[in-house]
Amino acid sequence: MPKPTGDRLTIQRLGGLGGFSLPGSHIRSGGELALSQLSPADLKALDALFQRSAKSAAAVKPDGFTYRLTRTIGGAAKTVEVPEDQVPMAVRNAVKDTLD
Amino acid sequence: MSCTCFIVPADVLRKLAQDKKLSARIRDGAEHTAKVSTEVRKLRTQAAALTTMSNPMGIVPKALVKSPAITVYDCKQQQTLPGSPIAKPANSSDATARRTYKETRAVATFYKNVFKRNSIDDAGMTLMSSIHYGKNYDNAMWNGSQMLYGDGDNQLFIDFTFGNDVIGHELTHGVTQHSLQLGYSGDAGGLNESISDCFGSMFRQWQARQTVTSADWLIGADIIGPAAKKKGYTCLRDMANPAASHCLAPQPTNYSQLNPGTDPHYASGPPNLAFCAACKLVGGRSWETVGQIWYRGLTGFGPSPHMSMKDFAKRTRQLAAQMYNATVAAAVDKAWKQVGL
Repeated sequence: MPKPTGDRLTIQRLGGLGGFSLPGSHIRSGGELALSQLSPADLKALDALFQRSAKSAAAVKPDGFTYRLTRTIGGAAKTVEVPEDQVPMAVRNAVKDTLD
Repeated sequence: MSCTCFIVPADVLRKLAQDKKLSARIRDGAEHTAKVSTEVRKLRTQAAALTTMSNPMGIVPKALVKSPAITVYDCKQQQTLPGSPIAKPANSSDATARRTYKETRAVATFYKNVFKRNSIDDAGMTLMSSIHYGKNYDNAMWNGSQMLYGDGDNQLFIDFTFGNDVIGHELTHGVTQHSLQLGYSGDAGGLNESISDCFGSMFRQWQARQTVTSADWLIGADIIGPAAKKKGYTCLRDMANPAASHCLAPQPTNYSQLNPGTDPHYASGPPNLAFCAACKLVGGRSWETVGQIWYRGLTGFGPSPHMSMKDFAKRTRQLAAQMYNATVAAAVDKAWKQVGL
C-alpha cells in the first residue's frame, strides 16, 4: 500500500505481554492511514482522543497495548498515547507486526 | 431507558448511530448501546479502582468457596467481552477452551498448595477467561476483572494459551491487584510485571517439578511462532539473562539502566534477574524458599501502589532474615546488589 502523504495518522503499538516496540525489542508494531480512509465516526472518535491529555498511561491495563498516535494535518503533527480499548477498530486493524 | 444491546464494538455502534440509511429507532438503539459499552468499560476500570480503595479500609471479602470456579468464554475472533459462555470448558471440543480451563485450574491449585491462597483475591473469586480474543491477536492480558487470550498470528506467536507461564503471569496480575496493588508505571509498573514473570515462571517450574538449575527461566517459550523461531528467537524474556539475543524483547540487567517513563515490560529486567539469581544462590526449588519470600513481600503488608524497587528489595531482604536464616538473607542481598539495588 502506498504511504499516505497528506493528512494522515501514524500508529505505533507499544507494550503488551511481548513488549512490542520497546527499546531493544525485535518486534515492530505499527501502521499508517490517510485520514480520508477513516469514516466520520472514526474521525470523531479520534478527535476526542486528541482533545485529551497527551498521555493517559494510568488507564493502561496490565499487559494491555498502548497506542502512540500521531495525527498530521496540514503539516502540523500532534501525538497522544492511549490504551487499546479506546482506539477505533479501523485504526487497530491498520497495525502490522513485524520482526527485525 | 429501553436499550437494545448489540454484541459489537463501540466504534461500529457509533457508525451505525450515524448511518442515515438506518431508521431512527435503530440509530437511537446503536447510540444508546455505544454509551452503555463505554460505561461497561468504565465499570471494569472502576472494579480495579474499588479493589485499590477497599482493601486498606479493611473491607476484605470473605471466602464463600474452598476453591474458585473457572469460567471460559469464546470471543470468536471479536474484541467484545466476555464473549459467548462455554458451558463445559473442561470437556469442550475446542482445545483452547480445554487448555485454558485445565491450566487456570492448575494455577489455582499452585496458589492453594504452595502459598495457601484461595484464588486471586484469597476469597475464592471466580477465575474468568475469554479465549479467541480478536483476529490473529498477538497478546494476552488481565483487564482488571478477567484474563483474555489471543490466538496469535501464527507467525510471530501461536495461541497464547499454549504458555502455562503466560496463564500464570496473567492470573498473578490479579493477585497483585488484590494485594500490593502496584501501579503500572515507573518502578511500581516494573515490579508489577516482574512479579507476574516470577510467579508465572515458578508455576511452570512447579508443574514440571524442576529445580532452579534444571529450569530454563524463559518467559513465553511455548508461544513463539514459526517466523520468530526461524530468526533464532526462543522466548519473550529470559529471567536468567534478560539482555540475551534470543529474547524477542531483551531487557536491561541493572537498575541504573532504567529511565523514568520506561515501559513495565522493559523495567522488569533487573528485578527478574534478582529473583532468578537469589533462587540459584539458595538452590532447590524456586517456590520453596525465595518464592515464599517474594509471596510474603507481595501479600503480607497491604497495598503500596507506588512502591519502589529499592523498597521491595529492602522488604525481601528483611523477610529472608525473618523467615529463614543468614545464608538465605545473604543470597537475597547478593542477588539485589547484582542488579544495582
